[in-house]
Amino acid sequence: MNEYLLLLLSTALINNVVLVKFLGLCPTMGVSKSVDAALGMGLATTFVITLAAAASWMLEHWLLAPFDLGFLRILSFILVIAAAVQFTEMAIRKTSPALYESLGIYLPLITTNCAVLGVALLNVQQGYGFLKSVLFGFGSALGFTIVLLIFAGLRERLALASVPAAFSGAPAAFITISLLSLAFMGFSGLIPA
Amino acid sequence: MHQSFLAPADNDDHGLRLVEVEARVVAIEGQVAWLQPEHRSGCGACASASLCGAATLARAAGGGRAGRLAARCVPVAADRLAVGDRIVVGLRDDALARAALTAYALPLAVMLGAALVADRTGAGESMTALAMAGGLAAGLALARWAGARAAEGPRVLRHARVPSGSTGNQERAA
Repeated sequence: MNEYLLLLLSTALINNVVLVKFLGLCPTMGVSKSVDAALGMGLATTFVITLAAAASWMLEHWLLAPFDLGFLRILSFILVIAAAVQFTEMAIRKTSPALYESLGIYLPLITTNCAVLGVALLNVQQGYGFLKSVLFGFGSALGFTIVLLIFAGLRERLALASVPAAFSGAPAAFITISLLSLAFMGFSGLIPA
Repeated sequence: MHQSFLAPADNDDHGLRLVEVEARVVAIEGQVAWLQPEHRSGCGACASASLCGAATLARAAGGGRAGRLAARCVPVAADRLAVGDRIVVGLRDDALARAALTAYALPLAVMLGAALVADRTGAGESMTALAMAGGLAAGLALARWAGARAAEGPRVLRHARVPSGSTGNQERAA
């Protein structure tokens, strides 16, 4: 169990998918002006990345590797991810129509970004077993959500601050996220190499 | 950089914060209006979308479907709206967070819990995957039960402001 906790800690904080691997920057910059939207977007992405990690592991180990079809990896992963996000939307629509109505207006229920595909491909490189792959995906998505929430909170505060015109908007956001990235480097000593 | 699809929060009648978003009316059926959010995704909505792999992925996943498939059904007083109107809908911020937690976090927690339990009992990888699928189904059922009790729908607040120079139904006041 300790091993799993360390894996979660490592993927969420130390090898953060946004601030260290620079994946998922587009939604991080675009959906981080409100903490509530960031939470919703982060949770949706967490669900999709975890599901995609499980599906891509099964595809890799039960189909691509046994039949030596590694050259189809990216293409088949894209299809699997597309199926996973469609499943997510369909499942919420069918099981919770009221939630679907509440969330659908505000959040992109179909959440695809480079982090989803990136985490699935990184998972293959790591060579983990099934549960570790799922936890790797979950931890990466958790890191994405944490950064989204922190960044949204900072930007909400920043919106109230007096910022020089030349720095307002995108420049202030980029400076803020770069400082956040530096702060996350502090986690790198948590787990010995 | 992308613009956020969320407008600044306002307050409702009870002083609670409302999260607002602009949407376009794409169809009206009786007292039900179909709304399409102005910006559905932070990614794939920028000027480089035609060259962007993520945008292509989103389109492959169905994000590019236009019209009613991408629209959301929200019951509103249809006599105040017409197809093509741009309106502002609002939802209490705590309701949005609660809905997201119920819809995504609950099934995810049950799914991961089932997988961990299966792993701890010494099940193989196939059985762990099966347990995870079972946990996902159970989690979605739990979310259905919890969502039916707690969900609160968005409501139409007003017509959106129209950029200068544009015409159409949007100019009518709410």
